[in-house]
Amino acid sequence: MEICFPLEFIVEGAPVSLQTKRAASKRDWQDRVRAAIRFALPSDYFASDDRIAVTLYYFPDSAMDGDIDNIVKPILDALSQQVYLDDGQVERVVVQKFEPDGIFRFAAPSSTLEKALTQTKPLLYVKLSDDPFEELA
Amino acid sequence: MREPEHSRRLIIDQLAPRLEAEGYSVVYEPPRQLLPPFMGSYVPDAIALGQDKKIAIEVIVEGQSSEAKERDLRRLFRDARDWELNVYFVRPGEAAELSPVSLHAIEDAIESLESLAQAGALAAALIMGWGIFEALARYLAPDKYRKPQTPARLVESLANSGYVTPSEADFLREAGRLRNSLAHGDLERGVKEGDVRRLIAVLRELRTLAVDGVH
Repeated sequence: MEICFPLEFIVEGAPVSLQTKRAASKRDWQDRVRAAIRFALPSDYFASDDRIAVTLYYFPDSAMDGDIDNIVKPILDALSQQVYLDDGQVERVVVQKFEPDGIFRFAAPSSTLEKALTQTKPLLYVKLSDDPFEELA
Repeated sequence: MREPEHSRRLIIDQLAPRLEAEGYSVVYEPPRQLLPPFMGSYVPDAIALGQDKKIAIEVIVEGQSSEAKERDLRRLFRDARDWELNVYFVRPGEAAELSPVSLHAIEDAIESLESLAQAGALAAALIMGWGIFEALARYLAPDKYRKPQTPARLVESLANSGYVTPSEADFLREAGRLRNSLAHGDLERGVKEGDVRRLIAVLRELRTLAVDGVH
């Protein structure tokens, strides 16, 4: 079965930086990402060979300490060979943090994003799309 | 205690935008050639140069011999025509900066924590355990955790940097909330022995990182 994009899911917890101090932390975090994907996908699917766009919204429960770009690679690595075959298929990455006390307006959030907005933080909202040009039009 | 130089800089940083909006050019620690002869050896912390008026800015940090210094400066500027003296007094905040404690002290504290847990003093153990947790964080990253940390911020930071695993971070967030409740007087909140044991296990992991020199 082919993956039906866009694919959205939530990973609970704080993302681990690329410059992690403990290998176990990265493994634990990537296991979480993979578990969240499996929950969002049908049991009999094929990893996509399409071009991919990735949206990562991180909602920390207090001000984030590291740089937001440092969370990207471990997540993309966890998605590789799960959702897509190879990292090279990823043509677009949007990553943003939404720290407490900020006021953010989401015009028409999907049900998954709405759940992310209301659920206990910290968490990461992930959206995968097969249209890297979706917001260029 | 915040260092006097740092306090001075903060004050001038706050004053500068207002003065600049009024048309002044602000010069921090001005070179001697910008100062008039009447100032002698005195160098203000900053000066603000306007078209009609020039201001010498002096920040006096509490704890210095402030009264005598202010009196001398007022006398110096008494006959100055184009120059005005603005003195600002600062009481440095009590946001203490903390130095890392030795690994030996941390190990002793973990042993005391074990004793507390064994004696069934679980609430005291949790509070102490959180103190050791912050001490270990400061040992591992002294520059990052110079100031006291809130539990939520400490966990977020250590989780982002991978010092604690996401699973440990989940537990620590709960433990941090429990610690806050106890620290703020909610004494009827029960602490489970398992929570204290798990906290000790996390502390031992962090201690291993500290011993291994992971920074």
